[in-house]
Amino acid sequence: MEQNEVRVWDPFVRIFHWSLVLSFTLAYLSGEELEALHNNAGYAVLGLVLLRVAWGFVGSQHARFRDFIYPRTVIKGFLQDTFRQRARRYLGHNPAGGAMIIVMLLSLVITTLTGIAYYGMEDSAGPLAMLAGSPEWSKEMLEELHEFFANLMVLLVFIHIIGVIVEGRLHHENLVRSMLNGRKRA
Amino acid sequence: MNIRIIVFSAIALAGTTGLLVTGLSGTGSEHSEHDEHEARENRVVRSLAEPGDILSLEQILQNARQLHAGRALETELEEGDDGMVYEVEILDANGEVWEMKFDARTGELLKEEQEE
Repeated sequence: MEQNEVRVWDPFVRIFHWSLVLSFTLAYLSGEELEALHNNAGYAVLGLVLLRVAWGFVGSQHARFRDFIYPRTVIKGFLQDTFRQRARRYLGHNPAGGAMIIVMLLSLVITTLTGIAYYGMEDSAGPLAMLAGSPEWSKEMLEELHEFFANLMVLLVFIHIIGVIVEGRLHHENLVRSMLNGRKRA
Repeated sequence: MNIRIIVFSAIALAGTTGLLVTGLSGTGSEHSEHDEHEARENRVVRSLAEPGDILSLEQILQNARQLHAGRALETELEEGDDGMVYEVEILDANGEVWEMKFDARTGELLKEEQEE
């Protein structure tokens, strides 16, 4: 570790982040085409999200929800400051980044659960196979929800990446590198 | 590094790797449950077209049309208590819908009723 650097992201947060990137990408690309891969990648996403939620309560300092959940007014103020290029630097997640994590986790939970429920209805398989025989309208609704939240997730990922670029420039740091080695300038 | 980090990290890594690897290999070679379901349906559909244990759907439709000439609205092959049963719905020239059931092996008429 370089002298003026501190450890910010613990190993689990980093493993979670990049495993989720890979799993979600594979799930998204294999949708409707490669069922075995799509299902397993989806299960991986759900498992990772559940672990992350637990980690939000028992994890290291900057991984905890209470470290990055801010009041709405603070998030708004942070975004306004960012537009004026004078947002302060946070070592952990900034208020907007923290809010984005909550939204993404929720969106992923909805995406995976609607996917599992749809799979149960359509193929009478998976953890929710008992939903087989549900009326057609409920199946179509789940399918729509599943696709909507999967696509919303892609949009959120783009906003997330833009956020990472903007903040990285503002404070002259490589945040992608931080998510790889866990370290940030002190 | 504390034990909690190791446990969480190990579960995340092993779980993701295991799921993605089996998913990727399953995609190439093995049949998924969905594929099996389709194969089963294909077998049933084939048996409708080929001579075998049960009469063909063509044959049953011919029998049904001799009773009620018209357009077939719906055909179904069901597993009844006493073996396979064809269910046929025909719309006749008078606009009436007839539902008939036939023994899939013998072609015997089991039920015939006019739908409301």
